[in-house]
Amino acid sequence: MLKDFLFDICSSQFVSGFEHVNSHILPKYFKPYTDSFEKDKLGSYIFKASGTSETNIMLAAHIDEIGLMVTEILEGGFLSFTSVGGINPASLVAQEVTVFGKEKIFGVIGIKPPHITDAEERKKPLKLKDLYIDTGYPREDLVKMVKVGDIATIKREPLSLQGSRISAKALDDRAGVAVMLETAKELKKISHKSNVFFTATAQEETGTRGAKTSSYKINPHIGIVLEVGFGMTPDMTDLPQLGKGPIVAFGGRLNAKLTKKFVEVCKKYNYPLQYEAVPGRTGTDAEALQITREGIPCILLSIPLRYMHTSVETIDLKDVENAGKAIARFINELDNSDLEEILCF
Amino acid sequence: MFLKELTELSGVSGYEYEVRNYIKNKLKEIDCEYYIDKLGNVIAHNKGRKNKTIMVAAHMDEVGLIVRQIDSKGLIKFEAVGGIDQRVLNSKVVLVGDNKIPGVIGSKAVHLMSKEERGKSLPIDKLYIDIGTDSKEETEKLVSIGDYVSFKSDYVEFGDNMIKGKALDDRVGCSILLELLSMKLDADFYGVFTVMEEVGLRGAETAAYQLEPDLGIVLEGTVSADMPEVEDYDKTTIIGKGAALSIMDNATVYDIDVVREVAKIAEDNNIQYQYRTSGAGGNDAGAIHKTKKGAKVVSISIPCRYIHSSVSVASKNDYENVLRLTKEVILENQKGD
Repeated sequence: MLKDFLFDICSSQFVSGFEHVNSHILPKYFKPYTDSFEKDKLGSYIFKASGTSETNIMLAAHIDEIGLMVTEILEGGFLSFTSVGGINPASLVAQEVTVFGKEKIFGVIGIKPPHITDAEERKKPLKLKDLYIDTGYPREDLVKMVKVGDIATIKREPLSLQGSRISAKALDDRAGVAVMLETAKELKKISHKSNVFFTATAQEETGTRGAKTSSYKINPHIGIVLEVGFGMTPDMTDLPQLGKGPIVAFGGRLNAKLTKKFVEVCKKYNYPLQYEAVPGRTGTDAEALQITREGIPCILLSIPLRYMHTSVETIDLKDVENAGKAIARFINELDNSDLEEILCF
Repeated sequence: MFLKELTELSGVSGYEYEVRNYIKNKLKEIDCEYYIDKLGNVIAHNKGRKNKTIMVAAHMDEVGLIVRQIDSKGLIKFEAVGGIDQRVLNSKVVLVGDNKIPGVIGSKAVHLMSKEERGKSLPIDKLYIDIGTDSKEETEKLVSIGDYVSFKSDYVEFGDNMIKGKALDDRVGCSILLELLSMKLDADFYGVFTVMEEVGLRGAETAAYQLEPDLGIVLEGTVSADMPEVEDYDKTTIIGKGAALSIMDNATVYDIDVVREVAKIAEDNNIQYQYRTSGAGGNDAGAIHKTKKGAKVVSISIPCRYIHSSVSVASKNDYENVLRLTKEVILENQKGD
């Protein structure tokens, strides 16, 4: 179920700025657990589960993903492109892509063969301008199907690995969106007093823009930002591990007392948790939420993820399930606490 | 054309079992006589009118990876089998071993890279396959040192008459050879599906020893640098411009008279051809022409962009031209007086 949802949304494109294209997908999944749906003007999706109190809680996970944008249509059916969001050019070599032109067009990003690339050149870092999408069409046909400004994504079927691990493109931050859906399901079971706003924000990858406008619109008392975080790999051994629970962040962008309360709840109900210290910039929607209107106290919870911003981002579904349950329990506990006291300095 | 099936099979050099089994079954279906030699080459015989012994070779093997070590975290270290450019491995899905355990070759998050690291490819000894396990013990239940690894890549037809797949080098040759054997031409030739071309033309050498051909015809997927920013003289072959005839490469100086004869056959039959304009690379012709007292050889190839990667690209037009030309060359050489 959770896996089906993730496989579905990871196979669809929601490149930053183009979140409206597949606008039928999220409502299908969130509507059974929520009672109203609207969008902000930037394209963020806001699903509200109404409660009985006046408290508004905003959950934010960005629906947008990094992608490519066509900049020129060349002879021989090749397309030049730039990136939308941060992409390592080296991760684009020998990938299949889908170009979203008038219709979906298949292409591959190749590379010059070694025998005409001298050793010096091969050692040089690749730049986006060195790469092309090969569509296999003559230019005269291609110009009828593709325009400058059209977007493309890597074409990657989501993959089940061993145990509860999966690999896909755009798990950053569809994993966070999946946490929201898990929370929505849990809250349906255990009831809640607060109004909960499940917000799939637009344009995080280009500068946390949807989070700014959607949080302004919702005007919540607190924000819960759901993201992905760097998971441990051999070249980065001191990072949180996959499958050992979501990562809660401590630092200046987050509200210390609210974060502490969340940790207490997780401990009380035995939800696994990992920790990270982020003194400054978090690179998440918390950047925008924290300073919306007169300020929103936030917590930040991240799903450990390996190979971020590649087409083989890898997570453990257990972390998503646990995060969803922990957030639902947290909301339930907040409903029965004095929120003002928690937020009081 | 058998390319969908052939390219989606695994057959990394030294472990061509899946491809060999597929070819054996096809040969049985078309009622073609064959045997398997000591190295694993499939040697099929199309009987017919005969002036000379002709060996038509296509290699079954593909470049890939082999498991070298499993680390304490369950991650798999590997070596390349055949010529793999380290730049094509970043962020790929692979299948490990006979049970095709799926895994990914990942890459550090771009956010964590220094400016110098960005855009750079990592050497193979810094890469690893992640199958989703956490310990050596878990991985060892599924994977062993020495297991072969191939790219996961579906066969796709796209663009204007183009195809994409892994291992087009040289399943295009295997597919054409199967088609030639299916035609039941009244012209004698041996169709040899060789092993281990990518690791040093090993299979072709023992096959040629057994057959002692007068003429070797090698069917290949060959390199094409037909891309933007590459000068015409550097392109080697051009996609869509027909069968590519080799004149010289790293393994063979082709007999120029034979090459010109083949070009003339193409012209006489209105078959599109081009010359392969690079001295780099090499193929089974290199082994065949030096066996015993030597043999004349010719290479007829299909241009492939991004060869030796999971996304090699070729044109169906070129495939058809190679098929037609090879057929005419066989018929012409076995024509009665």
